[in-house]
Amino acid sequence: MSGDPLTAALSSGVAWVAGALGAHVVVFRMVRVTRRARTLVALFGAAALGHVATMWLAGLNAWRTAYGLAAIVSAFICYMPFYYTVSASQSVQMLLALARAPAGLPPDELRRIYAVDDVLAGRLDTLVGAGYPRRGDEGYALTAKGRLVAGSFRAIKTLWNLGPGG
Amino acid sequence: MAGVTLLFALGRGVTRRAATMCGVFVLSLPVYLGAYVLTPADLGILPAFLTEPRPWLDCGFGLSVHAAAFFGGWLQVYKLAERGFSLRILIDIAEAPGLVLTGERVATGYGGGRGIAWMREKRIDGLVTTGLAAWQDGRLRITPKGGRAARLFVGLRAALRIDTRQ
Repeated sequence: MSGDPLTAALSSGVAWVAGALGAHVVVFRMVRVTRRARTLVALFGAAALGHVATMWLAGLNAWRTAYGLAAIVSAFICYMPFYYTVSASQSVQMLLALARAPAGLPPDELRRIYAVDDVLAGRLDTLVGAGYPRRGDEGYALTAKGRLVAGSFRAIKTLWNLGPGG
Repeated sequence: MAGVTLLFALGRGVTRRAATMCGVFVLSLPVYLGAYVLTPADLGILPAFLTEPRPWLDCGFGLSVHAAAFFGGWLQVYKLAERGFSLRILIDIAEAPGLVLTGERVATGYGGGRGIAWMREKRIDGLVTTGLAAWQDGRLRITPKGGRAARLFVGLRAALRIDTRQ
């Protein structure tokens, strides 16, 4: 593979990743996004399509295009966990509550501020909205999508000897 | 990942699993570099157009994909399996008799029967053991290290307009 076209392919991939990250900030600041995961996937998908179009316009072949796509996929799988740590991590939210109380919080106040029943109710709403469990008369039951995720991770936890976790 | 799986499957006493995984990743780097140096660019089977004449670019690209697969892939799978709040809820429902749980039973049975309050205590312990917060005179206070982390998260959450319950 000659050098310059490969550099161009990787540069295109990196540039489109930068575009996706910039669009993430702009879109999430301008619009009240409710389906965050889907929106992020769409932004990175658009970046991948943009890269393919760039390579096609530049007359570069599919192999070089694949290098840039690998860079976009690599950025995506690293960025999604980072984003969800910032946005949804319970530890981060607790840390932010502590930051708002420089004198510290006694255990009772911690329990009041960090009301786990409210946190759980919010997360169950989010999960139902995402289609993992459904809420019925008898309670929460897993959908096919929820069974697939739960079953896959139960297998991993068994294989790796992990405890209940959570 | 075969090495990590073997370590976890055979070694029930592995305590710092994330650190162990990172150690295995670091050990894989000289193996990768050794394999890169010792094998021909075309691996003896690839056509010339699939080879890259500049070793630094070729090797560096492979390393970056390897690192992304580890940090964005396998390490995140472990973190989800071990600490995932949503995932634990789904697994609790999957393990319930009749595969259905009321909201109240989700709370009392969380984490394999430990209860939802245990989740909060685990997060508090995590903040203390990582040095982000400390108990002083019966109050949980943020440390300077925790303050720096909190400022970073506040900035990121503001930039991405994250202010809603997740």
